[in-house]
Amino acid sequence: MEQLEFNFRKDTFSKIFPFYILLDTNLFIKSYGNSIPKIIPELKKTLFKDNFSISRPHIEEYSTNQFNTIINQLVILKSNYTDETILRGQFEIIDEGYLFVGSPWFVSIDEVVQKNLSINDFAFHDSLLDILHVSKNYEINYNDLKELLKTVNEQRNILKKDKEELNKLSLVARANKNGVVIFDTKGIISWCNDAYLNIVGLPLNKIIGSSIHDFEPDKRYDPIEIESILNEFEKGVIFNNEKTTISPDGKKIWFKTIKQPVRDADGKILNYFAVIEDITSEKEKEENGNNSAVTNESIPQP
Amino acid sequence: MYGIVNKAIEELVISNFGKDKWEIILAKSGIEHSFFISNETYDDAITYQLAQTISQEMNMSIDDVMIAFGEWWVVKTTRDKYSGLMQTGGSNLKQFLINLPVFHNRIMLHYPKLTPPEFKISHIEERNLCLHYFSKREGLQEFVRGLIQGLGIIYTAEIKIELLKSRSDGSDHEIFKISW
Repeated sequence: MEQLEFNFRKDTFSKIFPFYILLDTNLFIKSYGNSIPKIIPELKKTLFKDNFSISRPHIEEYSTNQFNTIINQLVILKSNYTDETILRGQFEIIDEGYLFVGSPWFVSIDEVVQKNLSINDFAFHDSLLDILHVSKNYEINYNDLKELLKTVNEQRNILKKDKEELNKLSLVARANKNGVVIFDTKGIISWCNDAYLNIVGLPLNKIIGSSIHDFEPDKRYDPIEIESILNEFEKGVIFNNEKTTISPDGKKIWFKTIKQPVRDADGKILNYFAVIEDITSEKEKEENGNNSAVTNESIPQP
Repeated sequence: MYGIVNKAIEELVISNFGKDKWEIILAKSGIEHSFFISNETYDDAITYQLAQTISQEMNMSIDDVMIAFGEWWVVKTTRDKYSGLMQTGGSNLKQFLINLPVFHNRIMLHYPKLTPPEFKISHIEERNLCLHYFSKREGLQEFVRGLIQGLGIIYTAEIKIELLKSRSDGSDHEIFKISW
C-alpha cells in the first residue's frame, strides 16, 4: 500500500500551524511557528526545558525516553517566562526529533487581546476565536436574561400594585349606592354593580353582554338616536342627563346619569363608565319646595 | 434578525432621546415585543418597522436612520459587547477592513440562524480599497455606510466613502470605495 508523505515548506507549515515547535533529537528548539514569538517574545532556540515546562502529563525528566511516553496524548505546555502562557496540543515524532502542534489556550477574548494577537495570528482552521466568541454570546445572553428577570420582577411589582389599586376601586364601585356600569363604545355592558342590578331589576347574567340602551334609565327605542349616541361614544363625549322612569309599583323615580370615557395613556378610549344616581328625594323636595313657595305666594301677607 | 440588532436600535434611541421616546416609538411601531434577547431570532419586519417608525418620529430620512444605526453598531454595540473580538480584527483601519471578510465569515458560525451578508475586498492601495457587499436583504446599503463611518470613528481615521456600484443600478452587489 502506497505510503503518503506530506512535505511542506517552513512558511506553509507555519501558516497551517502558526504555534508549532520543532525539537531536534537533543530536545533543542530547532524552529517554531510565526505566531509563537508574539505570545513568548523571550523564546530562544535553546533547550526546550529552558523555555517550557510540561504541565500535563507529568514526566520524570526531559529526555527522549520520557518524550516518547507522551506521544498520543494531550500535552499542556507552560512558558517558563510567564505562567499565563499555556499551549495545548500534541507531540509527534518526526525525523527522530519531536514536533509540537497546538494552539495557545485562552478562556476569554480579552486574554487574546492582552497578548496582542489578531485573527491573522491563528490558522483559519483553528476554532479557538470562534469558540471564545460563542462563549461571549452565552455571557451576553446570560446578562440579557438577568436583565429580563429584573424587568419581569419590576413589572410584576407594578402589576401587583395596580391590582391592589384596582381591587380597592372595584370594592368602592361595587359597594357604591349609585349604579355603576362599564360598557364599550358600542354600548355593550361588561361590568356593573349591585346597585345597577337593583335599578334595572334584572339578574347579572341578563345584563352582561346587553346594551346599556336596553335598560332604564337609558332605554332607547329609535335606532337613529342610538346610532347617534354610539357615534358620540366613539368621539369620547361626556354625557350628563336626568330622566324620570316609573317603577313597577307606579312610583315616579328620578335618575341622574353621568357617562364618561376611560382612556389609556395615549388617550385611546378603552371603555365607558356610567354612574346612575337616584335623585328622586332631592327632586321631590325641590318640587315640594316649589309647591310651598307657590302656596306661600298665594296666601296674602298681612 | 437576531435580537442584538433590535436591542442596539433600542439603546441608540434611549441614549440619544430617552426612554420615553423609545416607549413612544415601540408603541407607534405596533411591535408587541417590549424586550429583545440578543441571541434570539426575530422577524426582519420588526427591525424594518422600528427603523421606519424612528424615521417618522424623529423626522429623519430612512437612509439617515440606517447610517446612524450603522455607526452606533460599530462605535457602541460591538465596542461594549465584543470589544475584544473587534480588537483581534486589526490594529488599524486598513488592517481591519482587509480582515473584514474573514472576520465576517465567522459570524455565520457564531449566529447559525442568521443569513449574514458577505464582504470581499479588492483594489487594495496604500490609502484606499474597495469593499464589496453581498446581501440577500434589501435596503441595508446605508447601514453598511454607517458601519464604515463607525470604523472611521473608532480608528480615528478621516474617511471618504464612494458608492461605485449598487443593486439599484443593476449590479448584483454594492461596491464602496473607501479612502482614508
